[in-house]
Amino acid sequence: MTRATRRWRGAGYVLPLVVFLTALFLVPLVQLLRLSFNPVDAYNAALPGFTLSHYGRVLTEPYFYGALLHTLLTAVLVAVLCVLLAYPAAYLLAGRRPGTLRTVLFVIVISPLLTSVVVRTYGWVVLLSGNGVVNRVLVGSGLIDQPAQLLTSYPAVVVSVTHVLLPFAIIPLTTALGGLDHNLHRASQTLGAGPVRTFLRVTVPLSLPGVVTGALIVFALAMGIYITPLLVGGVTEPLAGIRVYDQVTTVFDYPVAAALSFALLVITLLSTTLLGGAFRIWERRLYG
Amino acid sequence: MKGIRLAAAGTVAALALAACGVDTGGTGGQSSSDARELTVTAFAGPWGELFKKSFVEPFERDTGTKVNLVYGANAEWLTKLRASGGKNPPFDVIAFTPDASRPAVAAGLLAPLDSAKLTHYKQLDPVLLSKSSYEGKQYGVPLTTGSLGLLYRTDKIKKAPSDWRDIFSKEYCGHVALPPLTYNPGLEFFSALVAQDGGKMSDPAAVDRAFKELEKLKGCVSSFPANAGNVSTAIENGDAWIIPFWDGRAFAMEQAGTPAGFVYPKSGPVGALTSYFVTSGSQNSELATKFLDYLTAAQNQKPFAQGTWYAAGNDSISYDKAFEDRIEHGPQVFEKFNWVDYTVATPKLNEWQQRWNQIFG
Repeated sequence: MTRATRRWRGAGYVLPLVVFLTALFLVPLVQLLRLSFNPVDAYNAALPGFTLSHYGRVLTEPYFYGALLHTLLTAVLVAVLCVLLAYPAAYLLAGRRPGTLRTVLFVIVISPLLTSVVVRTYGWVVLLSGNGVVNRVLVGSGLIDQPAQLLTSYPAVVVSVTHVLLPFAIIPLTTALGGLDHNLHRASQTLGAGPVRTFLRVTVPLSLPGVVTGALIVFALAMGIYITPLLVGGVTEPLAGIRVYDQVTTVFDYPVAAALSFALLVITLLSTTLLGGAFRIWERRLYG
Repeated sequence: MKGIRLAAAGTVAALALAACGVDTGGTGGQSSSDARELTVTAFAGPWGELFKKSFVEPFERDTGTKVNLVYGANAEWLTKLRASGGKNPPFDVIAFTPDASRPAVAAGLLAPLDSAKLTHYKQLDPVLLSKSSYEGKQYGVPLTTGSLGLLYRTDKIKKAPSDWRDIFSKEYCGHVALPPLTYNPGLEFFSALVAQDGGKMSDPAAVDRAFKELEKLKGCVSSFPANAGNVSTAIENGDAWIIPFWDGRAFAMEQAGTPAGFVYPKSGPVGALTSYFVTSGSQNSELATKFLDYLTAAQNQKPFAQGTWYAAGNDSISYDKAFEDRIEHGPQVFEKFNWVDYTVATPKLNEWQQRWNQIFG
């Protein structure tokens, strides 16, 4: 088989995926981009023509740009929290030899992904509501007199979103930590480094690809999330995803929703590229 | 290289995720070229089930037509209708509240009605009919109307509230649920505040006064429900003791065992109407009009109204005592309702929601 034949055969393998993504992802994305430039009538119906006014609104009205900024900060916070919480769990999982216990632990970690995000989120609603478990414990133990306002608060949104996205950080971290060569740990300790120093100077740097991958996935997911914050924080939570949802479902202004979606997409792309680029620079410095 | 791969993977993930941000909707079920099939929308949940029993089943039985029911809500139907551009629409008969019907009529997506073809047209409430009449043409027929009043927890609030201003009482501070303006009860409540001193939504001074009133609730709101499920959860869980909401939902909640009460405010409730329309370009417009005839018949509307606890559009219905005792209805009642002026509210909604967010966000 010639090299060219092999190449064509390789292309044939990915053709269904390319056709699928082009038809169901790229074409709608281009249509959405086109929609974001269409002017609207008094009732927000898209009209033929070209305008930059929707992007102007997104970038100048605090209702929209404030939501983009708030979303960015929230996504960064959630990504950091997810990595911090995922690391010990992934370390424990990666350190176990393959067997029943490791399988059980892994299933526990990924089990949230097996249920609907709405069901998982309603779990938080039940826990944090006025007569929910958390408030009952706080009132019952005498720590507070009246049930606290836990739902519709920003901390509740951050906690619930972190919970929903945590498996996306644990999985790549477990893979990265599981692939480490244990001879390097032994070498480090043989050369006089203690467990803490070995962890900080050997384990952490070598697991950094997993950390960055996990953080990127969680960050990207958190940038577009809206169901969980909508149910826990309410529609007043100023996240871009909720603003897009609002524009589509109640204001019926699809061009503004499209413009806001693209602004969100550009910010997400820039942020992930920057983080990926920074990691690449760090990697070059380390390995030359 | 690892870094590049990571960034590329992140980029692809970001693209995929961001693309999931907006659902512009598909084309949904197409209307059939077979004239014995009709595609009709209905709100999802028990409402839709009762709709099927009250209207669809008798219609199918009597005419031999197969009705394809599409469950959902305003937003997705309007999206799909807009996508069709008034040609070969995905539905023949569609349910809309006035916030969605006004933009749909303006875009030419709904067909004017020939009232002569509707047997029960003269029995329909003139006030409710006028809410689906635009530029002198009748487009829709009223199915039911809810009334926005005050829903409250009877175990927490001993003295029932009587008017809109009672929601500002300090006793309830910390236990008020307030729907945002982008959820119908929120805008309807805001409309009631605007109308308190005879104001109109088209008058900026009256709107400013209503926002000033709303400011009194700052720090007192325990939840901002944006759909009926959120309202039920907030009331049932005790997160909220009082909320502006619809009579039908409140009475249904009470029937289900929630300690909930409802009052029609003295200064007038706000109307929340559902009407049905025939879509522009429907291949089955004759059959669709016939379906509206079934939809407006007193014998079909009565069980639906009594099941949902919402007053029906047909004024000739003789309701059972339990319904009659609780639900305010009839032309004199509807005449006194405060109705949201969507011709003003729709273009202003974003701006008002921003102001609302500055208070509560």
